[in-house]
Amino acid sequence: MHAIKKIACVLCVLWAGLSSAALAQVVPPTGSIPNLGPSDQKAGSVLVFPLVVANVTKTADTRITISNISSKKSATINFYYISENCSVLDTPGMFLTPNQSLIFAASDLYPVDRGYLIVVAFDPNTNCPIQNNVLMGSAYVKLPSGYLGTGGPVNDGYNAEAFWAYQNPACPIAGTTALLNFDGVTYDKVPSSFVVQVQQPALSPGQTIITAGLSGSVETGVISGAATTGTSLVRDAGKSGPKLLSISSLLVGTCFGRNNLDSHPNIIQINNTLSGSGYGTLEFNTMGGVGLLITPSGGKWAGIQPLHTVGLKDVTLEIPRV
Amino acid sequence: MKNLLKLIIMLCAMMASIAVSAQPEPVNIPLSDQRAGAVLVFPYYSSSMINPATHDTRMTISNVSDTQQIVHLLMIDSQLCEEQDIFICLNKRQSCELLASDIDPDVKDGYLIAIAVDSTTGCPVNKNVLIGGAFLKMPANTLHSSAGAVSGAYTAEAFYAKQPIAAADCDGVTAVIRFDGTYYDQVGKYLTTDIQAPSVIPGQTIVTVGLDGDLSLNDIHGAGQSATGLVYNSIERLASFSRFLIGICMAKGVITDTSPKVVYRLNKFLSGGQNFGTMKIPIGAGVGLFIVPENTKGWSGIRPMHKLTPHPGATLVVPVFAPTGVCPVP
Repeated sequence: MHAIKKIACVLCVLWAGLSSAALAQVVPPTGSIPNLGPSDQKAGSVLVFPLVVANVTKTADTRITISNISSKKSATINFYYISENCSVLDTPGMFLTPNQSLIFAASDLYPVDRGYLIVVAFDPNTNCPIQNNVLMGSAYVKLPSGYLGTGGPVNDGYNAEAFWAYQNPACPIAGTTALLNFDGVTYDKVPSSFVVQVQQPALSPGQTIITAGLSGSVETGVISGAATTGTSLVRDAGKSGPKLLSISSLLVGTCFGRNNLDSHPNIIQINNTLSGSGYGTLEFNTMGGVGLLITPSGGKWAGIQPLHTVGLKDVTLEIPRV
Repeated sequence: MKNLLKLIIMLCAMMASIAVSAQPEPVNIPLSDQRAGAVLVFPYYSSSMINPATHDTRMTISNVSDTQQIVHLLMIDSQLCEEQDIFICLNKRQSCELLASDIDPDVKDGYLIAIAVDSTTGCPVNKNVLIGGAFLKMPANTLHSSAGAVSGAYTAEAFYAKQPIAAADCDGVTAVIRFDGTYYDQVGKYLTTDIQAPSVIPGQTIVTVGLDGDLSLNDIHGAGQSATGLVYNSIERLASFSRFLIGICMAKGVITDTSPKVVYRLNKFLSGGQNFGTMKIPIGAGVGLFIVPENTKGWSGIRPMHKLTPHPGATLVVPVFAPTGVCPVP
């Protein structure tokens, strides 16, 4: 009996060691956390609205504002709306004079759907993406109770992720597509490692993480980057000693990832892990994208927050030159 | 008469060109609320001891590294710009929840600065391991009179430390945090946000906090409007305004028909089309939030202010104490 217990203990220690090893792979080591990257507070040449949603009754809707904040330069922008099933709707050639803004409701342009929106500054003459870091964006989202599966209604805003262009992207004269190289040389790199502060799902039902992938081809609709890769970690805040849970398939999908924590197969274990403090963090990797944490009302606290980024990645996105 | 008309037109054109040429173009600002840093700023919290269920702020700070980190928390009350402080110990990958009703009860408008410090000296260290997030809720008529209830979330501004502070900048009594882009990320100077006509969305509020000065002397400033602000309507017409954001350590500007005061008044100026516009506001040195209380249109929430340009070199002097006994000996 003693021998069995000893083996069990050794296995536990081994498992803990393996978990720690896995952890080192989930989140970059201290010192490698990047400083520059996309941000929801600066201007850029590419904007990404990670969540655009609407329904027939307009009880779910998104109000989007895109501004050219330059006082000197105009901007021509193309829209690429990518729905949850990765079908693409592109809108070419919107023109913004200096200091002009566009405002629209998702229910007008993309009704009865859910997805994300990429806005790219273009050269109207060559029909190529260009360096024109004058765009900024914001959105308000409203969702009715139960829209996310569990949880109450959502009413909050977020700013679009802005990718700064450091130079004009290479763009052949002939050709129907262009490449957006998010490599830190042409455009800002793309977030790929995240730490998200969450509450215990039992205390705050409906917490949903959404991610928008930025790797692949908008032209063909083969877009990836939204799904988690490898193991994700749930970590208690640590008040009553560190508690750690590794889970798989936190975010599934290709172009668009969406997961209400309540619907995760390991929800019981997630609740148990976070039961000590009532809150903690989620750590996970994707192949490159941006995202939001949505906390519906129903618990004590509600709102929409961008995901904290602790690692960046080089990815390429092919877009049609519409 | 014709000459007079020409002169007026010329003057108008000159004024418009001066206003346009004075505006900065956007730059690639590293400061962000989405990455880890060595200094965090939560630009707004508010609490009520009587009714914390409907009026409170929940702030969470996480250490995303594999080593223990002591954090010096400085809470600043907007009324007197006084600071109070405390240390917390965050073990590796640990998080800490702070309720405003608990740590600073009954403060109507405050903000919090969290600084990664050395466990022995209390001097700021370049450990870019802190992230922060906050939820805010307030009943109607609390953010200001006639405002709806507020409910939303934001993430803390994270200032990245690029190198250790100079030895001369921490003498054991105070430390100088140089937001100059060499030691720490720069703070915001020219902020911008899109707005709706106040007749459509009432109660829109801009909150800015200053990050320049000496906290040990209760002399922190930078939140107030430092020069003429601008608002553009949907057909890119320009109007300028002054004295909208008034304050020293914190400034709170409520958007109404007469505030900011512009020609035609704001509702008329923004009228037509979809009743919206863009504001550009220079402040001393700081960061800010745009808070939209609940309204009949359903578009409400909290967003960080966009930053057009940074301040070249704000400095913040903070008190220093040795955080003895803050972290238990492992």
